[in-house]
Amino acid sequence: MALEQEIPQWVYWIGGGVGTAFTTFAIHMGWKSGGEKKGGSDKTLVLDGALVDSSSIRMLTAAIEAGTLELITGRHDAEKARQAGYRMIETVAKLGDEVEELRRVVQDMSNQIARSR
Amino acid sequence: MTTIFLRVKHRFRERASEWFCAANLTQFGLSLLHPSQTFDSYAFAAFRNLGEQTTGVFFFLVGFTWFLGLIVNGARQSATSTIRLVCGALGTVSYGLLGLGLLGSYVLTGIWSTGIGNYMLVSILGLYSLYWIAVDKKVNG
Repeated sequence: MALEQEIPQWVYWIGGGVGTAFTTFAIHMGWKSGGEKKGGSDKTLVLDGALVDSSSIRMLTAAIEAGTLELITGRHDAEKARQAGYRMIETVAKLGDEVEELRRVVQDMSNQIARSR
Repeated sequence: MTTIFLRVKHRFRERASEWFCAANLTQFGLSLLHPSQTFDSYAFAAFRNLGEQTTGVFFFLVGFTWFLGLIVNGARQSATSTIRLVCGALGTVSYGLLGLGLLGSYVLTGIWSTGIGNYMLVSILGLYSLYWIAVDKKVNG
């Protein structure tokens, strides 16, 4: 065993360089995919403050009320659509029964014609 | 104190890899600072000219500072993410160099160490942590 030998310094420098490159790359990728900062800038906050007064609150309340009404209407529409679907299924089922009945009548008539010959 | 603990606990899941790396670096530093001559082992043949005490102090300081960064940043989101980022970068490169050094020891002694693959993998875990620290810093400051 050659324990007196040493690993040359340049090996570690290259290793450190490669490690630093990987590290920088990981940080860069993370920073890039981080998206927008939460909370926005001060400018947006000032703008938000300027927009919020009593009339805008009334408008917001009206909008929420309208949205709620639309939701209720939408729910009613959905209920109507569900009932219409149910009626359609019933109609198709009845139609099936009537076709069956018709098939029986035709069969009877065919039998009678066959017997009369 | 309870608030700090609760906030650290709240973010622990997403930062588990960081906590692991910080704890591992700290324990590695403390192990080297132990009076026994760890670098006399064949596995550390390539590290002997670095000095056990100096290497131990370096690893301990990086790991411990990372710990402090995690505790404070767990409680104050925007305060110490830079500390975490710097310690993460130092730790990741150090882990890679550890793996490389153990590989060098293998070249010198012909004895393969489990630490070679182990520290290389921890270095990759460090890179993963760094990625998410950077995301965290960008999103939360």
